[in-house]
Amino acid sequence: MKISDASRFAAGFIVLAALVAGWEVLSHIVTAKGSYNEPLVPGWGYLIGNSLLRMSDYWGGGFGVPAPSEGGPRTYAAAFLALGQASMVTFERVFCGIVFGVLAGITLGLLVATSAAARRLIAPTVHIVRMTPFLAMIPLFNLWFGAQTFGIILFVAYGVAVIMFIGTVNAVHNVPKVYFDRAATVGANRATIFRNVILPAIFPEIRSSFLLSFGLSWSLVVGGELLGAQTGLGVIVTYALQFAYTGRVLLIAILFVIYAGISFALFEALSRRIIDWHPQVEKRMISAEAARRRVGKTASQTSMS
Amino acid sequence: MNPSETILSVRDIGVRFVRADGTPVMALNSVSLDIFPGEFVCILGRSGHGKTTLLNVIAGLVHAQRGEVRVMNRPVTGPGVDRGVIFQQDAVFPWMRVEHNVTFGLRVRNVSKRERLRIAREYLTLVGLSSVARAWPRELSGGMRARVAIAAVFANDPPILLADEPFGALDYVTRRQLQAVLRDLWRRTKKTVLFVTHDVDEAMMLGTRVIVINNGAVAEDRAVDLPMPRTDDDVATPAGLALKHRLLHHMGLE
Amino acid sequence: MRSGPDGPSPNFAGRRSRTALGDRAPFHQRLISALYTIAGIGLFFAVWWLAASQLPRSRLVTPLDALGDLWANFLDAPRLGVFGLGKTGYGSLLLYTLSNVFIGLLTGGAVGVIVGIASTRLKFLRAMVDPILLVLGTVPILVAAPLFLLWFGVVPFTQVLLVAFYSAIMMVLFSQRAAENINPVYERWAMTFGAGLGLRVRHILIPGTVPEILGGLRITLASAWGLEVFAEILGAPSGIGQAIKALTNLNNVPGLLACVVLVAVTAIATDILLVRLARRIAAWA
Repeated sequence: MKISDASRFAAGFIVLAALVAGWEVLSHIVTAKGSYNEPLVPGWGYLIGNSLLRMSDYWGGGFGVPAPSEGGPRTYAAAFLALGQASMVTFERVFCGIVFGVLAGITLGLLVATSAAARRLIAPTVHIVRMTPFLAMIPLFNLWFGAQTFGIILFVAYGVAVIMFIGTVNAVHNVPKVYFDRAATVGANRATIFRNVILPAIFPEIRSSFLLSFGLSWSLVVGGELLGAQTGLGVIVTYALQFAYTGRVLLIAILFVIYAGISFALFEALSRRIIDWHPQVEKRMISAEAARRRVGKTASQTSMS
Repeated sequence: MNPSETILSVRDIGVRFVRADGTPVMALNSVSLDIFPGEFVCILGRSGHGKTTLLNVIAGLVHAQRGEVRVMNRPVTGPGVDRGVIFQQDAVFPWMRVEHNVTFGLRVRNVSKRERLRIAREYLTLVGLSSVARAWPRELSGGMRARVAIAAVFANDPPILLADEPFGALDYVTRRQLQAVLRDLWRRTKKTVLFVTHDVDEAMMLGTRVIVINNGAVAEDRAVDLPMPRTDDDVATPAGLALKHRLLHHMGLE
Repeated sequence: MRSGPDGPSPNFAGRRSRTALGDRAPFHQRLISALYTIAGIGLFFAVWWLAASQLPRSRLVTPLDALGDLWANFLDAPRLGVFGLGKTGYGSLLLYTLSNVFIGLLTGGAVGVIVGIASTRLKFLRAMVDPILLVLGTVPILVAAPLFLLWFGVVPFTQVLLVAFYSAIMMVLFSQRAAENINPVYERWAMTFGAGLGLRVRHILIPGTVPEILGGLRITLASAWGLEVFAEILGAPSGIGQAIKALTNLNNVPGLLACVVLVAVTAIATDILLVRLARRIAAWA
């Protein structure tokens, strides 16, 4: 039941086109308007002509494009500049959050993984931290670190670090013992084992943890910005919510989707090249073993014992 | 070294494990052996009777509660470069090319790059893998990966070589080919080999001496008085068959 | 323990033999595990306490203070009355959150599982579902939260829909993978007995995918909690999220911590329950 890459692409395109068309159709069926006269299901014409154009309200002037707030006209140039500026802020938060989170998570993970005693002692704390829903922590982070770039970066880093930490510790734990034995029988010391056995062996699992935290980081940034930030894309949504500007909310949502999708695809393509040495995982596994490993693995990811 | 001096001596080794339900079991019960340089000793026994445990104790990977193992008159406290191990599981590092796997032990000992490559090439040729020196392990079959493991251990030149059922997962034809490869390398390098197996035929094809471990104790320790190199015909002689029956009997299978 | 033709034989070949050093009986091992767990939990609270003692009360309070607030406000939190939540306590707010999570998870999950498994059998369904997932898969589902709020208003349906939507997507992915991971040899063997598609679905496909699906459900549940609380913070008639929002506005740190602790504890509890349930259902795995 394999679908070739080309037909997948085509199917995706068709679905996208269908969604776009379907949305337009829907906008003509559901003509109800919310408060402030904004249609609940704005068609593409409205989205581009009204919502997008009025994004220029957020442009503070510069680059030769006047700011509407100071009497200048509403232009698409201003709109794109405003969106670009907001996007930059959001990008910065995601990027920094990921970088700090990955560094912290992997470093702590490697430190803890070297000592079985440390791992078992930390396990309950990690479990508690991990099971506390990240999004529920946003107000706390706002309280502690403010709701601006600094606080949001820290929040994203926190979520990413937790995932990377758990992934790293599990990856080290899952390295087959025989590799360590082999290294011991040729007289390798701990540094050599770390460099030549542990680091390369954990790479695939670290990569998949990274992909996970990549996806998560976008959610965290959206969440962080939606609850109290003052700059960035999420803020536009916050204001729009107050005035029931469905169009703007939708536009920003689409923008986030595009950004997340592109960055994800980019990263996956990039990282796929690095793992050419990893033996192909057997696609079809015996169900019992695979399932046991899965449920057991999830359990072990939580208990870390 | 005086040929009558043992290269490996096992004294009164006792290893005790605890079952899941709490009852203790003696995996090895007072095992003593003397191994001489240049021997190819096959340690034969049924699954679960202690032969792998014995090998692990000698390798220094398992600690025995009682007894002592001495290699060249020095006590064994852990794994070491003097005892190379070919593992039962696939221990070839998937993240290193074949060549790199073979030179791993040499790199640990800081052998010069030129020397390393020379040695690697030599042993890869001897095991018949010179054409795949730059390949990734995942591109190789199980049999070829076993050859890589053999080359890697021999390249490090340990005086003693411990093999734990290295060919168990392979098909009959590949197994025979690899037995020949191992035997040739042994004769060429004159190492002392301890080879664990549950296969009587394999033990008789390879060993200069066979030790049967049954229920955690030495049940039989016999030299194999068949010509070396050995063919199937040598083993199918009355003397060979008599030995086979003896071994099977001591394994508890007859 | 393996049983040979002449009775059980002790089989310690392989990994197990390496870990059995010395006279440790399993009971001792279990005791040590329990001690580590207790020590680990103690470590968590000790670090919290230490941090709380070093930071001002406007940032962090001790575990005891948080628990005290939780106890005092569980049944009735007068503080929250001002925020349009009526006469309520953390407990009933939590109930709202909990029920939303479960309704959303189960309805969305059920749809997801059915669609997911069916899509592995019906090519046309697969052709429709895969591209949709491709598009929706990497999307942060959070972006839909404000949209739903605008469309459906400040009602429970908004949050439930968000959770259900998310659960459906996740469970389609997990179910597809579960169905694909079943070794084809099982079905082939069944076919040699003359079993038709219906029987094969009932006796192989469904039981075979249950463990992996339950594993996926567990992961989805964990995220669903966060999604629900977030949606409540954004706008809801009730729920712990609303309490968190209110307490944040009041800058009430003990209350805020109490609510977060409550959410965490409940999330952990539901997780444990799901694992127990999964172990019962899929005991064979």
